Amino acid sequence: MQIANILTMGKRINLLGVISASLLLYLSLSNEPWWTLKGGSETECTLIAEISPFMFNIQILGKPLTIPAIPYLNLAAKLVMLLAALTTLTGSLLPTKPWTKPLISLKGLALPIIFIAGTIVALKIAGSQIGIDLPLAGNFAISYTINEVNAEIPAATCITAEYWIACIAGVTSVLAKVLQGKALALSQKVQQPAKQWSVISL
Amino acid sequence: MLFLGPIIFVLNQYNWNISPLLQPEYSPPKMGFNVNAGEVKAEADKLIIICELENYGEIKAELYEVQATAYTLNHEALAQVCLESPVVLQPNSRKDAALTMPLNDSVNQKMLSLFQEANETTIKVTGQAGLKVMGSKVTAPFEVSFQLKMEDLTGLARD
Repeated sequence: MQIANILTMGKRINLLGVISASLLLYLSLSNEPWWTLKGGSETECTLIAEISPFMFNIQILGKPLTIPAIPYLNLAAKLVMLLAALTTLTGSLLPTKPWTKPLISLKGLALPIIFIAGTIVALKIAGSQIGIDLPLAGNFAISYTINEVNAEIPAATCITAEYWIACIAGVTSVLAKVLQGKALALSQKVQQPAKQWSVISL
Repeated sequence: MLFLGPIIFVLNQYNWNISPLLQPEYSPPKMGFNVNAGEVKAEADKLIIICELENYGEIKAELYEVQATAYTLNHEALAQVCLESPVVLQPNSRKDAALTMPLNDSVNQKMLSLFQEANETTIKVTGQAGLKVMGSKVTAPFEVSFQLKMEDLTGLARD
């Protein structure tokens, strides 16, 4: 209870909620990828894939590959995360109000889990199409032959720092929800003796 | 429910037809190369074949290796042919590349014997070319033919 009291600054602010909301806000407004694939040399890239729930950039031989639905799905994800950040922030600033507990959103935890699961499935499908194992993170080589022309592309995939920030935001939002419950319980405990005193004085 | 807004909007734009919405769109850059043989020079220990390379594509490429064999019209192998130095080809440009064919007594004899009936003959060079394209290594078939005249080898005959 003492930790809860410290983390809510004496039941005034849910600090974990504020941290979670700030991270969610940063993630939804940042255009940094969560996962990248780079094929080619250090100076020139044959293939670039930069993906996050909020952005999508695939370039093959310097030309973009687009899927019409993707920008709208990115926008939808951005709106959901912005709303989750704002509700979490509102809830965190009023930790003793019973109606604010549902405002602490857990979408920040769901998104990195859905994203990584989706990426693994997409890599499995893409790998089976081109006949190689595409790792979630690591180095590999793509080689293919078309009409006697053989190409070999050294490639590397990696999960970026942004993804880990998203995971931290997700875990923090869960802890913030727990803390919000504790803050409410603390405030109700304080209010109950006060009510009893007022009944006695009457 | 907020996320449904952009999704409903785009579905409406495509008349609720999901298939074109999920169809990837990509137009690859134009790529293509031409090789034409030009001047042939004989030196004491090698034959230098100058080739004009044309990159009519949209991507820069570097020809860094040629592993080929020179053949006579009778499909008799003469010698190995290799690239003297790498050549960088900018998009829509032409550049000369020097191929070298090492000469020794056996090759010289074979070549001089080609001119017993005619003053010039066709030499065909076939093999593989190694290219670097945007950080990838590409191996492609390489073929070029050139006319070799008796006078190109006069230096050799004298030697």
